[in-house]
Amino acid sequence: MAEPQDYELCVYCPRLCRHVCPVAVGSAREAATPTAAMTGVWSALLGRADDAAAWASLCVGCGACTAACKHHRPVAELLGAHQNPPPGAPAPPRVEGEGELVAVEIDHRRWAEALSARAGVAVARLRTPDRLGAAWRWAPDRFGPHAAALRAALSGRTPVTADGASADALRAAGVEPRPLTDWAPLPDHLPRFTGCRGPAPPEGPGCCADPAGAASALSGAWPEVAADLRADARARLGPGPAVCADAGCARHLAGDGLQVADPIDLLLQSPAGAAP
Amino acid sequence: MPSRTAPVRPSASGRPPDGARPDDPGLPSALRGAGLPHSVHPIDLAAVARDLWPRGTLDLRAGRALPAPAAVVWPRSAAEVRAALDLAADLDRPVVPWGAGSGVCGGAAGRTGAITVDLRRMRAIGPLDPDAGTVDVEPGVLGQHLEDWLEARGWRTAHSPSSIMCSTVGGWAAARSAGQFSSRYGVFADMCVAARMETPAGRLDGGAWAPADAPDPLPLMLGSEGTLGVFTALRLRVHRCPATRLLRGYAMPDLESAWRAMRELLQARLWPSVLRLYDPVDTRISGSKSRGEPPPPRPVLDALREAVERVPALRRHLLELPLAMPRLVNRIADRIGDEALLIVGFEGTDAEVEAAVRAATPLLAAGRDLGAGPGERWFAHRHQVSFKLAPVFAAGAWADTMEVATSWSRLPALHDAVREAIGDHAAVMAHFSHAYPAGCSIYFSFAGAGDLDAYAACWAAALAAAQAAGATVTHHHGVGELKARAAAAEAGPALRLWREVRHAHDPQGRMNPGRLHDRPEPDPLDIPPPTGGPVYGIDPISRTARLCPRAAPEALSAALGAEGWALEHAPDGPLGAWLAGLRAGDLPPWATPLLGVQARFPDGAAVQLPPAPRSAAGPDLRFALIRGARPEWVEVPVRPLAEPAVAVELPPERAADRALAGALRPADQQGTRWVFRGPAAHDLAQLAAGRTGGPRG
Repeated sequence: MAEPQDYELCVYCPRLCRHVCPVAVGSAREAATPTAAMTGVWSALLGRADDAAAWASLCVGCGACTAACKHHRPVAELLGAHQNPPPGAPAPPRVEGEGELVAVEIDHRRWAEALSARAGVAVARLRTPDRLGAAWRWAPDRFGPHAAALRAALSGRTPVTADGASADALRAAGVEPRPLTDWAPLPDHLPRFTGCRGPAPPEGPGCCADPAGAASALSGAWPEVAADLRADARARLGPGPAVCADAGCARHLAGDGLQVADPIDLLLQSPAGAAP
Repeated sequence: MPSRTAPVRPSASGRPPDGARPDDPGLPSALRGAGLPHSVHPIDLAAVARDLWPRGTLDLRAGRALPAPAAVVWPRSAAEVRAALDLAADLDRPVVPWGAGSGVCGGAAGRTGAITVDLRRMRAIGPLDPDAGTVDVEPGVLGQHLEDWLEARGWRTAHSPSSIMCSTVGGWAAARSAGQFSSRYGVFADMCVAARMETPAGRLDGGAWAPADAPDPLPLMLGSEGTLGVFTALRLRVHRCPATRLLRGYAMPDLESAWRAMRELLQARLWPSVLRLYDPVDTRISGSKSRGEPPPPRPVLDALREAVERVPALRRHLLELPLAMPRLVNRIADRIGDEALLIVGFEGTDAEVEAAVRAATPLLAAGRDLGAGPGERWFAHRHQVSFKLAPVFAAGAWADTMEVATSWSRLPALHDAVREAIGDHAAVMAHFSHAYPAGCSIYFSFAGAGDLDAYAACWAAALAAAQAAGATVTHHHGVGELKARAAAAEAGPALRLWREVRHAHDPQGRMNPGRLHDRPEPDPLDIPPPTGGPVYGIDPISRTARLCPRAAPEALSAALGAEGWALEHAPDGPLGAWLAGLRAGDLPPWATPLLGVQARFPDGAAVQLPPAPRSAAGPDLRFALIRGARPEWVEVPVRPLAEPAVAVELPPERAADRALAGALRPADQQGTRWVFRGPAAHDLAQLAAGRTGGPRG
């Protein structure tokens, strides 16, 4: 478990990562800035505040703050260490079929065959009901065995994913995925929502959170913040069609009534040819 | 009078808000009833309990409770800001506006019982008007997001404070921010074309949005630090992204030669976009790496530090040992040599940059050309300074920065006095990063050991030294609580003008109480009226003159001409009346028509605001003082009569090109006839006429 001094530099740092945090930007909530959350956890560890998990659960674990940190502190990881993971444990990974590439399928859509047609190689599939256990990645007792199982299941193969949370889980397990956008690039003529794991658009990043609570603690602990984030995304995208690199984000945005296509849609619309 | 759209709402209890009442359990329902997005969750309240004033950080480190507000409100529109202020009046609660909490003087820190109005949901950008060269923006936009948005469209504000990633546009306006390219593009006050705010008494429009039949309140809105109202909209000047940016470093033999070079570059009207000088200590720390040279022999303290770092038990005391002996540390630092790193940058078209460099090179002859390395390195890391303070706090010590400003002629004495004052309490170094034709700011960085008392003693000594040296106590960090007493002393009886304005808009004193000028008016100084005239004095180093405000232009020209000088900006009547009548847009945005003023109130109280370039010690009271009291002298920019000048007649379409004028900056524009002055005058005139340089982008 991390010690208070692991959080201390953030307590004294002038919030230089706040502009990359999708939750802080999207919700416009000071408490959601990585600096504030780290300060809250630090205070709790010192016994000056009650609830470290309440602060830590404002983080969706995208890692933007870690990437931006001038002190090279693992901010997201330190916050994740104090989140309350969901009950239970990740579903065991089962790869179906043969192929060097493995399509990570997170919802009802089956796209391994379409990717095979597009890529011209055999593609296996890994269906996951819980986004490869991303929500447990800060719980070593449960994610550790799961990570070992992931590594074994994917040994010698390359997972392909359009879901940032699954990608996070894979990286936490020591497996580097490839993005589906390598085969199904997003068209330039539509407004683009990059989610919390893509490159920041000029207007700043955003995040719709995960209403099912399967990949981040945010929507479970802070439903009003998750609602703020979705409202911000709706306002930014407008009513027209849009594209999103992250299938998880696209699903949430679509759930709010927006017309949002993701790389899986693009692939399935034209499996053999060029992206539409 | 400023426009008002709502009646004054008296305090429900008839007493000023003290902010210390027990929380009202009905507050959440009142906020819900008003339809305001809000929170009373302890986490949200704690998050806005401190800004970046190191005092708050020291309190937090020591486990002392921070004053949290009673509620945080997130308005999404000016109407919701209005509703929040009305509700605060109904509930008799103080209001603290909040942008991103990057202020370092305590101006946005929490206040017990207050309603904090967090503006970051007001973050619309646009429209961008390429013809006018402006962009409209809401106050809650983070600076980096604004610049990203503009740069994606080929534009920028060129406002680049080191806090750009953690500060908002509204915060820039509230604290009169300055950015790293201020020597060319000015500070935020120079960039702000118009602003709108909601005050407890109603709406207030300034600059281009101000009513034409009343004095423009914009100079009083900017720098008001949330004590007047809440900004709801701003219109900013924008510039095309430059085609060329050239940065070079120079090793100057000493500070004196570097100051001279900086001053001459600016007074030659070359408008460098970057002009940064590091004192010998800062040069040693920042500059040696920049030059790409092998690291110099390490001071004893560095070796000691490295040795101690290997012993975990001692790490916490790593800095306490040397910082407990600041005089010794500073004496060691004094012996590292006199050489000072100066970074000079120009930007524009290739031809514009070439012309500037051609004229600048002789003025930099005292320095050793270090090439592009130092400047390029600085540019790449220009926003990474403030994070370096965090390890000092983590090591159990404290660190802070202080920015003061004065005219060029007073700069050396100011530097020595403040450095000595801080040096008794902390290890100190300085750089000079905001320079103007009439003066310059000094940015001291210092670190010390001990507790809050030691920190406070250091600040008290530093502020006293700055004031004794005739400087402004803040150039771009604002006032907050940290500098409130010093800023009040600086303003003197001019505070009564501010109080009148504030009372008109915030009669209950509800807005951000205890900050900025919420201090007793200091006793007036015994300042005699000037004698003689119409010229009371000329500062040839700073190129300013103290003049009789009632003298006719002809008399001033004759008297100045006899000394070899002329007015930089020619008035069309008595100088004081002309200055009092100036409105936004009357002069080019790079003009600074008024630098200092001495005035007397009817009761005999005199006030003197000496030249302090781009002071951020609250709102700009200079123009208000000319209008609201009897000015006895005004200090304005002058130029030598012998300065080279080239006039050029332009085709009408070029003469009407604002971007061209902004890039080349003629000293005079009379219709299609532009006049350029200084060593680059010929080249600039050729560029203006389109005879060289090709089209602008």
